[in-house]
Amino acid sequence: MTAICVDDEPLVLQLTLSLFRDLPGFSEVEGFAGALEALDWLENHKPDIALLDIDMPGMNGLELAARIREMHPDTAIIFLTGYSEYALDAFQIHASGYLMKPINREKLAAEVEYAISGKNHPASSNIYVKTFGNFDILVDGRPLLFKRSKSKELLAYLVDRHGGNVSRPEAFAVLWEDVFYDRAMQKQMDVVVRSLRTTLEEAGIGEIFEIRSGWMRILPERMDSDLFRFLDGDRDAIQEYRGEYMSAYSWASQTEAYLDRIIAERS
Amino acid sequence: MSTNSDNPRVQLLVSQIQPHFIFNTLSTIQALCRIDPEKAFDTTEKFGSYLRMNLESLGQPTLIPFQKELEHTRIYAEIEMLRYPEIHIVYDIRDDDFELPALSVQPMVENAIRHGVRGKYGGEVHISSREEDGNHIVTIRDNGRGFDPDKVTEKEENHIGIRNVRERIETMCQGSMRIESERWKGTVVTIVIPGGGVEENAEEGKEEE
Repeated sequence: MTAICVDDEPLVLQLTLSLFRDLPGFSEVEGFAGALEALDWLENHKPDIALLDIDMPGMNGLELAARIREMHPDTAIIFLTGYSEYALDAFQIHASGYLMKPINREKLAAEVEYAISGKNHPASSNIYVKTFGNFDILVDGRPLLFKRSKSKELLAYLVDRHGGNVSRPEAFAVLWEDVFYDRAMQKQMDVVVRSLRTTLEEAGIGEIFEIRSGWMRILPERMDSDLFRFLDGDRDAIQEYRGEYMSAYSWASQTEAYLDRIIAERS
Repeated sequence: MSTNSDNPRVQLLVSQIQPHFIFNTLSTIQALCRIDPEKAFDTTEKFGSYLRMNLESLGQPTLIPFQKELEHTRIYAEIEMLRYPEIHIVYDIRDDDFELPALSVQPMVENAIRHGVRGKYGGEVHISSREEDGNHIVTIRDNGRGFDPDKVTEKEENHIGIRNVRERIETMCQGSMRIESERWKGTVVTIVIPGGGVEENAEEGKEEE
């Protein structure tokens, strides 16, 4: 295992390096006094874990983490925080991945263990629903192709409802906005629902979609999604959010505004 | 917690207690316990002195001797220099026989370090005092990052700190505080305490000359 520590205070840096060396399994531990030095090294090396002080002049720990994620998405990141970052806890953002200074040895060991175990067991579900940017559903890493764009949009809306029951008239109003829901359109709606079910079944994931006496829903527990992770307070998902949620769909702007508000409250 | 920190008086108190500094110093001492226990021993004592003076100064309604404020600032700066060995503090004290509000110089030096020279090689904070036209002038000058006065992005905590220092200098001794800053060049804080002070009278200054 390789770990890096980045801290602009030489004494605290020495401390974190020595704490890492005390942990079993770390053959290589590198320390850097600033983000730029670390980035330089990271050009040619890929650590398993990075322990980053948040409060650093120039490029801070959060900005550095974003860069590391671009370079090495598999590197687990743990933040070290002083006092002012208490706000993170106040907003009940998932506490893991953050360590307070002065450092508690047991907590450091626990965080490291958590970070490593997360790497060894990737998401248990083979279904991943991407909602940041454009909406897509990936099965075993491959995006699913839909015969009808409205079927894809319906699935997106069901994901947006987070497993809540949706009636056909409601779904229709979302998909067609101002069109009147007459007999002909009801038929159209049936085609869309049927097409969605067929697409999912053909991909072998028919079980995520449930229709019961006119209501339909998806089963969020059967899939992994950046949206669900975000709402659970997962710091990686929150970092990934770039202010764009299901960009292709106008009805998604409401949830987008909600996500933006969460981000604004955090900072 | 959120209701308390919305209260301006609590905010003021928190800005004067400097929680940031307290936690950082504890982290430094924790590191020293492993790396240099002797220094950890000394730093613990220094930190004790700092806290004692800081607590005594809280809500202090009367002026204190400049020498005392300077001593507080020195101890504070010594601890910070353990954290950031790259910075230098230079003292040029030519006038020290006057009084001023407690916690007026130290917070400005703290700003100079935290937001100015920290992380900069060759970073220097210059603390000087002199007498000019019967006034006592204290300047805190740094060659650090500086800031654009039109685009103040400093944290709320600092605003309260600076505003509070200025208010106390103005109301407690009719003095003034001026801050000039230029991005990437540095910041100069000038505190002017009128000669003769409030409680004393102007004759004292004359006798000395």
